[in-house]
Amino acid sequence: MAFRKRNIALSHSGDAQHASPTVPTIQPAHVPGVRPSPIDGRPTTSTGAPSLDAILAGHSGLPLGNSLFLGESGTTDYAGTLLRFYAAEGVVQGHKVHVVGVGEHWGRELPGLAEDRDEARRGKADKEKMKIAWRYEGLGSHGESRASPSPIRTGATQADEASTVFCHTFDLAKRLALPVGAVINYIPTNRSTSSSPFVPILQNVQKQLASSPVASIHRIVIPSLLSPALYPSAASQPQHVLQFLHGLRALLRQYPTRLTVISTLPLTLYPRSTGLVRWMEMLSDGVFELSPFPYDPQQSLSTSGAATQGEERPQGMLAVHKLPVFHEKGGGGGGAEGLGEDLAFTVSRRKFHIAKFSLPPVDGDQEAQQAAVQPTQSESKLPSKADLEF
Amino acid sequence: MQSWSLTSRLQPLKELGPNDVLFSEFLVSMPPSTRIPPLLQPYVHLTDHDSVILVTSILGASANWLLVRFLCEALSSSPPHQDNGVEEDEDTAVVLVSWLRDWEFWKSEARKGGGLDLERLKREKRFAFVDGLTGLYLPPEEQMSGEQPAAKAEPAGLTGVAVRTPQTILPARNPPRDPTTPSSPNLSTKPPTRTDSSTDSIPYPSTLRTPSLQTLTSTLQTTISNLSPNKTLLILDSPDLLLATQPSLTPSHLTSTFLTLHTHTTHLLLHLSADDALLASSVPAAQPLETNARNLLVKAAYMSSRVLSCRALDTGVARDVSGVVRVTAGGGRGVGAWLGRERLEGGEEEGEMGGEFLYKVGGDGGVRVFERGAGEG
Repeated sequence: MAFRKRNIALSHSGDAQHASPTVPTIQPAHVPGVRPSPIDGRPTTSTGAPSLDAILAGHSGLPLGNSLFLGESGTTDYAGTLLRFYAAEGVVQGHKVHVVGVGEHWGRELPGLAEDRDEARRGKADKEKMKIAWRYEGLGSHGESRASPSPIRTGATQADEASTVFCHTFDLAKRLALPVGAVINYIPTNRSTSSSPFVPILQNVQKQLASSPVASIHRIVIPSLLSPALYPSAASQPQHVLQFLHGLRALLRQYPTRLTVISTLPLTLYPRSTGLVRWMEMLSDGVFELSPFPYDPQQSLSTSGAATQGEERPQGMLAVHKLPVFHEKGGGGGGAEGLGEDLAFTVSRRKFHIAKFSLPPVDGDQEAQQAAVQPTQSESKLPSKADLEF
Repeated sequence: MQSWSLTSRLQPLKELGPNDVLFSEFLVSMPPSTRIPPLLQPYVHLTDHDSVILVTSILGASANWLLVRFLCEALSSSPPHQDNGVEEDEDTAVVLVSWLRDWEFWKSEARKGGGLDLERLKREKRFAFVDGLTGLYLPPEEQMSGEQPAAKAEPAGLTGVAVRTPQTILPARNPPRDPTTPSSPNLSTKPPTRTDSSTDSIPYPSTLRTPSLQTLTSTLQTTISNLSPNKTLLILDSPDLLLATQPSLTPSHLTSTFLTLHTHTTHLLLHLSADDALLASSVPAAQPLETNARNLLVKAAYMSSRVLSCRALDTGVARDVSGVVRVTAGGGRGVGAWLGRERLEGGEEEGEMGGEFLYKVGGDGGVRVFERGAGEG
């Protein structure tokens, strides 16, 4: 019981101390789905995938006024899943979502909220919280501290937290029921024109931004940019697409607290080694590359190795080429954990998970497996054995 | 250090020793701004004669921090070389043209990284910013009926040269942008459109409305003529964007524009991207985009007397290293002949100084530059 009391007292005092610096920064905004970055306080919004938020250079979210550019090679559409999470998160948070190039069917396939699991998880988290010593509570687990807005916030009341969820959990098997007065603005591409199909798009978004209230947050979703299925062939001429991206960048800078953009590009059609794609990347703030593993039902990663035990099989590699804000400053500003690591992504029904990739020991390699399973034991035993022999 | 027989004021340079002497003098005579790492100081220092400097960067290693150091070096109000008898109170003015980054970014970076108050310097006519980002390819906003007549009326006088953009939210600039209060710039996105005509009287920050090089030249000429001091540094941040987005442009157009602009300024700094993807031709056939980028970069390297290139660490990503900066001499020592100026045979060669350093950009904007292996573990 003394435990409990201390916990309460601490969280109260913590609130009192931290309320003054943090709360006023949130208060004027009062925008759902936006919170200040823990690094420099700039407003960020969630991409809809907590583990993607977590690798954005410590901002724990996509800073407003920035764009992400996801390239994916192969014929899969994992990046499209990320886009759907991003769009769905925007819809749930009441942001205005602009979808470029695809029709309404794309919006109908947005994943729905996974509520039951969410509730269960929260209950579990509560239970777990009882067990964690109060002073470590703020630290949380690695992913947890990123998913929840800030360590301080964990002390806040549950009801408060529920009303200001930064990133929801979505279920790909469900469909999001769009609120009445559809919040998604579908911007069609004119495929017949030989001139730039992008100018009307920019104008459309510009008009929407100018006519909407100043507190509204906008998200632009650009699935499969330059894909021949969606865009005329003239679109891939540098003067068209690069002017569009430059205009988009200008728009982002013009509305630094209201707009974010995520676009995807089929890398198989437009390889990264070309100057065009490089320019597209330079005009974006964050650049990621998804390289899915070729699907092979025969080959499954070792399940006996310790490295993959309890893990889902990753579906591809994720390379980080550029991070918003971080790289613009010259590669400084702390917290770029994902940079330079081998990251792998796993898409399951409820999450797009990005984690460090490690190859398991090969099956049948008994020694390696043993070593992997009991590295700590062998390490601790070896010296003692040597001592005994000596 | 090479010297040109440009004007008589450069003559005292001959009495100066080689670079290291100059550098040590530099350290003694003025407390160098602590914002510039000592190892970088000689390379960021602007020579007393005309020069073209090339700064290159790649996707994962931007050189924005380096440009801020150049800004810092040129603008930090220091009384350099009093004892040399050269112009004592000669201030350097800087014109920054940026095609990829906005004013807010440069302002906050210069404040954090360089300790410079660009707003104040702008009022002192020592700094000017030309915005090549927000107005270039964004269609003009017809729907904002409020400022449309104003926006139409103004270019008539200026022939579309330096039109103050309606949407660059000037009133929001006066307080330093606080990213924690997202609503403050929002509030001012619409109201300032009314003050548009009044702010037009201020010649900068001007916005480039068209990608044409003539517009660029004339805009810069007016901007430069508005600045007071006689020593000017013109920074062109990513002019290669024009090349990439305008198929009608050729690298020669751009380089000749560079040289024209250089005749109006003392120093010219070019920031170009040097990614592999832009330089090596892609597999089936080199696209015009790539050949143009390569040609421009090579030409720029030949024009410039100093090349500073930022790249990522070859061995991967390290926690305590942001990237590698390499300083080499450019081919521009013969540029005097191009410009119709004869070159004095000074014994000093800028090319002798050069090297490769690692750098780490800190979260506060500070930069540490160190030799390989000299990092703090």
